[in-house]
Amino acid sequence: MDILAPTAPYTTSSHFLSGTGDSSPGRVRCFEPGEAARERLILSKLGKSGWGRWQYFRQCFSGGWGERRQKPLSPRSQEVFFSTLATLDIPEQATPSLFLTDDGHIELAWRDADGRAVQIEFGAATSELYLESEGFEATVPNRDLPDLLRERLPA
Amino acid sequence: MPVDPSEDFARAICSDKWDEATGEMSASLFKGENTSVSRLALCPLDETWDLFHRQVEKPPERTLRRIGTMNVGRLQQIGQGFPANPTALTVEPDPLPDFRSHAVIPEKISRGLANAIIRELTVHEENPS
Repeated sequence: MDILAPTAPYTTSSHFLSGTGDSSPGRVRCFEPGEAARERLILSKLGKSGWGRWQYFRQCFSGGWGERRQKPLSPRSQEVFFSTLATLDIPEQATPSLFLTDDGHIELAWRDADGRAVQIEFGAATSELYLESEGFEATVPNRDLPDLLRERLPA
Repeated sequence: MPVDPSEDFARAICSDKWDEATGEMSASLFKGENTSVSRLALCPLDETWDLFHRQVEKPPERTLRRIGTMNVGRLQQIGQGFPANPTALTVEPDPLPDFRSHAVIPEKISRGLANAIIRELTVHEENPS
C-alpha cells in the first residue's frame, strides 16, 4: 500500500483556500517546529491569499520543477522571509503578492501609495530589494537586510 | 545568428510567477540569464498555448496562466535605453528536439530592467475552448 497518495492534478493556490471542494487524498506531512507560529504570522501579514501561495510553493515545488528542473523552495529563503515578515510594515492599503523564483527563492511584492513596485527577494545567503519609486536596486547579505529595510522602508 | 529584430517572441507566465489574487507578475520572469522564450515566427501564438502547456506544466500543479509577447527590436530598445545599466539584449535561437521554436535571451537581466520589460509586455489570456 502506498503511504504517499498522489497529489490531485491541476491544482493552483486557490486549491489551498477552498473549503468547499471535494477533498483530495492528502500526503503524509511532517509539521516542522514553529509551523503554527509561521502560519499565524503569514495570515496576519499577507492574509489568506499569501498563506495559500506559501502552502502551494511548499507542497508543489519541493522537487525539481518547470522546463529546466528549477530549484525547489529553499528552506533558508523561507527562514529569512519569515524573520523579515515579523518586523516588516506593509502598508494597510497594499495587496501583497508572493512568488517563487527559479532559484527557489520567495519573492514578496506590493505597490506603494503611488502604484510603484516594492519587491524583496529572499535568497539563501543574500537578499534583494527593489524600489521602483527611487530606481533603487540592491543585493545585500541576509544579515544586513533588516538594516536596509529600516533605512529604505521606514514605518 | 541572433533572431531578427522584426520577429516577436513569447514567454510563458506560470502560476509561480503570476499571483492570481493580485494580477501581478514576478520580476523574476525576466531577471537573470538564459531566459527561455518561443519564436512566434516559427510557432504562432494559438499553437504556442499547447506547446507551453506541454513544456512548462511540470509538475502538473504548476499551470500556465498567461503568455507574454514582445517584439525583439523593442526588447533591445528597452535594454539599451535602461538608464541604470544599458544592456545589449539579443534573442538567440536554441531549438530543442520537441521545441523547435525555442530561443533564449542569454544576457544577464537586472531586476530593474526586468521590471521595465514586464511593463511593456503584451499579456494574453487563453481563450476558453
